Amino acid sequence: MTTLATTNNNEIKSIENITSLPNSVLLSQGAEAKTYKIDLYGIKCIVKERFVKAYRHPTLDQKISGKRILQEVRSLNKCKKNGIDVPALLLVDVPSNRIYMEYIDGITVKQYLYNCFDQSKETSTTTTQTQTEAHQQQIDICAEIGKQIARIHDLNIVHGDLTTSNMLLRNNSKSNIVFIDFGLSYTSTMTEDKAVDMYVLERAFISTHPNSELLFKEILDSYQKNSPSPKVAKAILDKLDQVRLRGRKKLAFG
Amino acid sequence: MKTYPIVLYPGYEITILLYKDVLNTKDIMTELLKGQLEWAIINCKPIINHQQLLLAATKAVATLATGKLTTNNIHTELIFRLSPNTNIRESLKNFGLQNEDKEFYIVLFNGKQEKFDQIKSMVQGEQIDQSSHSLDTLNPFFDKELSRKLYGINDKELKATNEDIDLLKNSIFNTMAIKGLL
Ligand SMILES: Nc1ncnc2c1ncn2[C@@H]1O[C@H](COP(=O)(O)OP(=O)(O)O)[C@@H](O)[C@H]1O
Ligand SMILES: [Mg+2]
Repeated sequence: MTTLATTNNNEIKSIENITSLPNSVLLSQGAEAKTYKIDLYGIKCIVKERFVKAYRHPTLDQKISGKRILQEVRSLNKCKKNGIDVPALLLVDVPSNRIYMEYIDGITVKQYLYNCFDQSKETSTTTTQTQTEAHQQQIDICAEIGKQIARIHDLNIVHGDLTTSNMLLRNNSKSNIVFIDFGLSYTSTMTEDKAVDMYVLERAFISTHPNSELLFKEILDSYQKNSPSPKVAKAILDKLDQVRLRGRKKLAFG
Repeated sequence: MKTYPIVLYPGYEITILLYKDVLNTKDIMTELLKGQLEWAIINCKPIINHQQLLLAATKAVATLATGKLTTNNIHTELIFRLSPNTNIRESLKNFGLQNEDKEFYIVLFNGKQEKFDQIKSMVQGEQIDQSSHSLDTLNPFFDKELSRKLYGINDKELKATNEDIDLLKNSIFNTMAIKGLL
């Protein structure tokens, strides 16, 4: 029996297992969350479900993941309200640690860059023209990445996990970058925090896309050139130089 | 009349009716204010499609599950959940029934024939045939400007020149979802 009364609601529970919904698929299982694709009232929807870590205290854990969910949805909302393309929120279920959001149809920037690299390689079937085009596409997308991150930082949002896997291309179009995975994001006005954000991206970028130092430079150039506050962006990139140095020392001296 | 299950909460469903040319809204208001009605009467102008009602209904049941309804019953909670505003009176004013309304939605949770009959005898107006409507069919009474105003959706969010209805729809859903979490 279902109840509409406002008392004795212990029996009302959201479905335990997302995969019991029709047309649901598990897309990815990360270190902290599972991501599913479902159909929600005819809307293509992503469910991101953070799981409770068994080794931590359960109520403490609930509080920590509750906080993380709030950070994630607040950052998504702030981006969206400011015209930065991110998935729209559909439902936020804090007790179940679930975020329901718009499914973005399109490949990751990582995949896009891989495809370009394949085309830019010399093979018997590629022509010089496709090589040049593929190279230009890489440059274009890097310029777009830099520009959009500058806008995000201008809102004092630090993403926390900038990688080319956390950027999707709406309709596979290189001019429609959608940022996802704001689970580690936070609000900060500090130059240092934003510089570290860029450093995280740099490390991830260079290791995911070998020999891409010049492409990464395109991201940085565009970050500064297209920033709503170029002077601030310049200061952040100067800081990035220091952060790199520190990173290297850390590596050298443990 | 359309009935949909609330998929995330098995056992719950809503039925959506849409009325136009209603002649006795004032009488209905009187009944409504007595707090006797077992359904929600909803201003249809800021509602883009049935998906919007379903998302708000899901949130209303989710709130019921926590035992912390903000309002006094699930039907008022539905109206409250449609509104981006955390003020109950404002929410009911903008998303509930007003004296001068001639068209509106009626939404019931787990409705039964007896209640449908009561609604039929209560409303002097024309029930719109929604049998061909799907989940994302645009509500014929949708008022884009009003919706943008109520949900505070600016040009920046809609990327200024883009008039795409999908963008507006997403912004509405997003604004409902973030309610109370900022
Ligand atoms: N809104 C979305 N639309 C489409 N795919 C998504 C969306 N959100 C996540 N994904 C897919 O699920 C994967 C994991 O999601 P993500 O938010 O990055 O979680 P994690 O913290 O596990 O990396 C992404 O790499 C992407 O492929
Ligand atoms: Mg990720």
